[in-house]
Amino acid sequence: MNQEDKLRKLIARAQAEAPPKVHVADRVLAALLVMPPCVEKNEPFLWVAAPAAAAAVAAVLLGFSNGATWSDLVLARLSDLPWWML
Amino acid sequence: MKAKDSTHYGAQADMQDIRRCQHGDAEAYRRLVERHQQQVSAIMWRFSRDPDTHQDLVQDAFVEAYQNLHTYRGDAPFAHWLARIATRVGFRHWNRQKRERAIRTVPLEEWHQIAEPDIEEMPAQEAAQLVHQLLALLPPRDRLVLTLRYLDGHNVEETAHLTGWSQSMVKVQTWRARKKLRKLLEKARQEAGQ
Repeated sequence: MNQEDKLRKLIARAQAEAPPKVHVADRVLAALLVMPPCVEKNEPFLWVAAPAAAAAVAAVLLGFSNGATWSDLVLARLSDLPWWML
Repeated sequence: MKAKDSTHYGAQADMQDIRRCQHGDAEAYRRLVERHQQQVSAIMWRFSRDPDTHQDLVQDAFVEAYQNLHTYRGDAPFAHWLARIATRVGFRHWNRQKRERAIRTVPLEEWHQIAEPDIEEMPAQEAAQLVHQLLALLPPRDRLVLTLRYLDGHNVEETAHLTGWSQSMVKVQTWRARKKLRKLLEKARQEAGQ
């Protein structure tokens, strides 16, 4: 007997099954109570990250325009740090 | 015509409730859940046949849908968008089961003892249980593609939408999964014959 034909018959039989009825609205709402509301998501940190990134790029470009190299810029940043952070 | 009208009404009602929900109306989400819970139940019944796990999966799908509601733009019906989320939740459940080695599969000898005429007289529920356990012999990706293509009867395009895979990926995955299953059944048949 062809195994695939047998499986196909079994699948056709299985498709006649009705899934169980569920009533989950209360459960779902109870689970959602402990979550933030589904309002439009905003990303507050983007407003901080975007100007900070722009400022960093500007600082690097300014450094390059004064003839500095990457290592000069990194060294300058590192020398600004207090000794206990190194 | 009547069915088309009710679908249109349903889509309109969904959009209204989604907008209300985005403004913090919990009752609007309750209406969405009540309208779509049987559809999600049918999807999740393919992923777990244990009644408690099944209910948990239906709940998880709605919770995940709620968390992603801000990404729903209304380009496709809400039911399609929800089906994709439900499929993702179910697939994750299979992957978790696989990691925990908690999948119950059918012994292949049992499969070979079933004669073809028995299948025709088999209760649908029993047949579905057997198919579920047989497909559980495969890795989750293969199991998913065969479940969607053959058990749910989705075409390549619909399967691609539900899984998030490309259409070529669905075709390749289906071919591989069928090959694996055929090999598995053939091997078991040979062992049973010895």
